This record gives sequence, structure tokens and C-alpha cells, in this order.
Amino acid sequence: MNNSFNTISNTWEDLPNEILEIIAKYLQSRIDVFRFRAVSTSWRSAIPLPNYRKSLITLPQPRPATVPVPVTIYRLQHHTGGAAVLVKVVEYIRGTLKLESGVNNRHRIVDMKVYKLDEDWVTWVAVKSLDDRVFVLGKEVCDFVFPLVLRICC
Amino acid sequence: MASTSTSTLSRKLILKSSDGEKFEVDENVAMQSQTIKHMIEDLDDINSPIPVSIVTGTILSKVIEYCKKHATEDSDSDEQLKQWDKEYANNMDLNTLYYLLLAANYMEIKGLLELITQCVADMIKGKSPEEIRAHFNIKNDFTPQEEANIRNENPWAFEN
Repeated sequence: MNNSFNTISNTWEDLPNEILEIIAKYLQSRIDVFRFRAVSTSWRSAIPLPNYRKSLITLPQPRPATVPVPVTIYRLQHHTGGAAVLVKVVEYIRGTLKLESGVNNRHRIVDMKVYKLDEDWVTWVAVKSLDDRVFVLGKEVCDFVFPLVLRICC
Repeated sequence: MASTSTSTLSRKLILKSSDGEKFEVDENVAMQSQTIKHMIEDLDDINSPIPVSIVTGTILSKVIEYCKKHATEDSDSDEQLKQWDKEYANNMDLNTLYYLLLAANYMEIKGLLELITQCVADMIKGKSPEEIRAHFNIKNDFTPQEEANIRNENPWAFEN
């Protein structure tokens, strides 16, 4: 390769859009696509933003609407009193009340009193034990600003 | 000298690069390129050289190497062909990859285009924007304000 071809400077930023699109298609992770789009104005304009439909947080898939799922309403209140929070927990898998979320190490463990709305949804019943179940409240799960992991204090 | 008796498989075509180099190839090799396929359909005399106007001889020889490999229906398994593709792409320097990309795109050789774009994507994966720019010698042409906006949108994308 000793001809003039080597001396012509290639300009990767000026690759045709159709080629940039195919390259981006082979980037599997969204972080690589974000970084790809941050390289230059031409690369940025060639590729659309990765779609947001795939949330980082995986919530349990709801069952089809025709299958009734147990729903329990809890009232959470700090053991010293103060404002309470209502939480709806859907029992997707029998025996577990697990709301999966991408809670990271920044979660807090807080002592709370938990009241459960009885089956007729009339009176609040203090919950003595959640066994080995935990509530995980995250931004995506219950609209809490800070992820909280709640532990029962009874 | 137009020949009417030769079979399709044995027909030869002459491809002429942008810098005037001529390559004689079997028609089925050249037909890997959709662009050449369409050109041949419009040509009255296939014995005259077919100009591949934006591709230099150096690059065209590599394109032909790929097309020859993929035109022959020999005993190579898919696995062997993949391995050959991998070695073929790995042997190219960045400059060659760039011109191969343009050539494969212009000549419409789908397999070659996919091979090289995949290879380039693999180079991009896991790199920060700065590292990608350094690798491909790309100038950062964002204004400081634009760059700040991009960083604010996805701060986690810039952590190494």
C-alpha cells in the first residue's frame, strides 16, 4: 500500500448516514449508543436517541386483565407518628409480595409501622409480621423520590 | 470480440478502478455487487472495462478478494466462512476499513458492508466519546454549550 490512497486523510465523521446507522445498529448497549452520539455533530444527527421503552427497572409483568390478582392496601407510618403513606401491593406470585426494582446501595432501611386495609377495605389492621417479605419502594415503583427499604417495627 | 457460446459462469468482466487499475474477474464474483449487477444489465458490451469510479485499485483488490471467497460454492462450512471473514477484517488497518466501508456501500455488497460495520462497531463498544474520537481521529465539533448539554442529559454515559 504505497500509493496515494494512504496519504488521503480519511474522515470518519463524514461517513454517510446510512453507514453510521448500520454501525450504530451493531452497538448493543444503550450506553454505547449515547457515547456514539456524543462523538461529533454528524454522528449525533445520524442516529436517533435509543428508545426508552426498555426500562432499567424491571417490574413484574401484570397478568392478563381477566385473571383476578390479590391487591392489598397498606398504610405505612413512622413509629413516632406523623404522615402516613398508602401503598398498593399486588400479589403476582402467590405467597410473595415482591416488587422488584433496581434499588442500589443508596437505599435506606427505616423503621415503620404498617397497617393493612382489611379484606372489606373498611378498617386498618396493624400488621405484626411480614415474614421474610420486604417492601421495596423506588422512584419507579411508588413515586417515592428516594428509594426506601422498609422494615417492620412492631 | 463478443462471444455468444460461453456459459454465464465462465464469463469474464473487467473492472476498472478510479486510478485506472484493471481487474479481470468472473461474472459471478462481480455480481456480488448489486451496483455492478445493475450496470451489466445496462451494458451492451460487457467486454469493455466497467468503471468503479470511487474505488482505488488497492481497495478494489480487497473487495474482489472478499467477493471471490463468497462467490465460490465450495465445501466451506458457514463456520469456516465466518472465520475467514473475521481474519479478513482483522487484517485491515483503520484507513483500509474506512475505504472498504465506502466501497462496499457504493458497490452495494451487503455481506461486506455488514462485516466491516460490525468490525467498526466492535471498536466503538466500551469506549468513551473521547476515546472514540482519539481512535478514529475525529474532531470534537460540539460547542462547549452543546457538550455540556449532552453531558447533563446522560452523565453516566461519560463515566469510564
